[in-house]
Amino acid sequence: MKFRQTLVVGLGSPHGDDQAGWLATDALAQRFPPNDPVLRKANSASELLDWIDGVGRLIIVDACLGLNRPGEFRCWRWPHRAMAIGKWAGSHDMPLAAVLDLAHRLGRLPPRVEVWGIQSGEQQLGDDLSAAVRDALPYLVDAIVESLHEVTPCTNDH
Amino acid sequence: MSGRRIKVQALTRVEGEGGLYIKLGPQDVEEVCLEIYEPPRLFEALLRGRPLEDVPDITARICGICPVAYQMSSVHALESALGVTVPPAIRQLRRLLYCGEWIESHTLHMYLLNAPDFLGFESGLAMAERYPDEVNRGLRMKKHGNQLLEVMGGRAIHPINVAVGGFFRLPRAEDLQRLVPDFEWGLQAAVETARWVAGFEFPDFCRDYQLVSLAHPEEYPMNEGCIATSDGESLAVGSFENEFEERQVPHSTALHAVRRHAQTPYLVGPLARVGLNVDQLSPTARRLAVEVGIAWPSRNPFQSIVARALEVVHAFEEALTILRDYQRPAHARVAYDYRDGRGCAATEAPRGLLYHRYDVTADGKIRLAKIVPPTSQNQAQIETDLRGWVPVALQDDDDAVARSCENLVRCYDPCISCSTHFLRVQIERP
Repeated sequence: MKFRQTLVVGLGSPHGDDQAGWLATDALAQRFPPNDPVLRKANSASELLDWIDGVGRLIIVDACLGLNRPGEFRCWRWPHRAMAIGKWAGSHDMPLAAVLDLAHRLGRLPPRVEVWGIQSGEQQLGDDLSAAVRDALPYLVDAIVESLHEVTPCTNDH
Repeated sequence: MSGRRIKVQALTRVEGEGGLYIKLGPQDVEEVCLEIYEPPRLFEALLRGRPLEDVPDITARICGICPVAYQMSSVHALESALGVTVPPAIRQLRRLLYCGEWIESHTLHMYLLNAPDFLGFESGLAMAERYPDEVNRGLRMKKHGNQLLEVMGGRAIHPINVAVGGFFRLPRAEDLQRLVPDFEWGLQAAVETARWVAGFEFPDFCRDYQLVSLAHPEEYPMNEGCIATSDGESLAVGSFENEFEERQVPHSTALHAVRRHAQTPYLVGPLARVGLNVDQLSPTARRLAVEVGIAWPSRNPFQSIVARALEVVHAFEEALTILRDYQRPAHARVAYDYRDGRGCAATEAPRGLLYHRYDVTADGKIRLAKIVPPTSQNQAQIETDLRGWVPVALQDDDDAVARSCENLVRCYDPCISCSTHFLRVQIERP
């Protein structure tokens, strides 16, 4: 198994551009043999804590805000200042950065963690995937595949 | 203590958005307001006119931590309206599902939200570095609670398998059997947790509570029973609205509940449940309740964490019994006919008694829905307790007072998203 100890997690929901992480994971499943790498989908970042033990490389794919235009994507190597922890106030929602920070403090964070974010469009409840994100998804998936093969490694130099 | 107004803009480590405002007069605490400013969520109106089968899954969306509670109260209320009685095997599986929710909700609260207050940390993240073994233990316990929810409910957050009359699909025996080793570990971990939290230092702050919870002659209350109070009352669930009243207050988008006749607050939740039902705890939890050296019923809100830990022991132990003995029932659910009617039910959410009432039409639609969540029932009591707690803490500066008040509020594990939402402390000193 080439990608043993690699876990790819799509974060999201069935709604609008928030589907991007899940759809990317579905597309990756078409490009690799079963469980090589392991592919999972999650609603909540806190689910990662149940899966990361023994993982050498963790790749997270999620919709994000803060890039220039919908459909734009990039990869960050954790830790990165762009993913500084925002306020974690409630119990129902533990943001990704807090989950990674908690895993780090517990000594459970995989040695290599990469976060792929794709900019979400402005959306209303009930909207489908935006055209911009739909068009960009194949390129995102290609980039993740290349990264997995180390053709274009994810760095913090973007 | 004159001249001070203390405001916590946004309370942390509770679920939802709201604040706390404290105004001190020359002699006394003039005003304490738990300001819940999240907008009302209007679930009851949303349900009107919808097929009754939609109710469990829609009400589950009220909360991501305790969706099972909303599903349980809703299906029991609807089954009451329809005249449906579920067989014992289904009843037992519903208790098993509830065990999963108690485990995941209580362990999250104990380890990441409440324990940091007792150990002097600003957050669960900060505590994790110093107490990695404990936090890892808590996370693993929570994980096993979630696994049970996944097997029983299809997924851990907002499970989708609860149906009026039973379940959509029964779990396979091998899937439940596979959980047994982890639940054996979980029971031991829960025992260690109870001993750990019982060793925390608790402020001397006992309140004159009226404790309220379900009580059942044969089991620790989850889905059924009468409503018991620490004044010796035993009330039929059908009389809930005669005995308890919700009222609006200007500073909160959530309703406050009081006893209807006395207009006094009351307390629901683990402290009330253990206090009124300690003899119905599982054998290990009952032994621990004695071992921890607390005289039950405790009326110290800071000791709620110990009650919560005992309930986790109970939940692991009861779940283990059900998992080991499980034999797949012949049918997943009971058939029913629509009829015009009204039904109500109360079950015990992790945070306390959760009441639902539905009026249904002869063609299976919801005519009227009423939902009284535990956090809104506790709000008036929380404000009353804060009025008692503020004078104890007032010698400190405003930041320390605010922190101390937040610590107290967290002991009730409020879910403002359920009540509607909360979080902010503001203290006013004249």
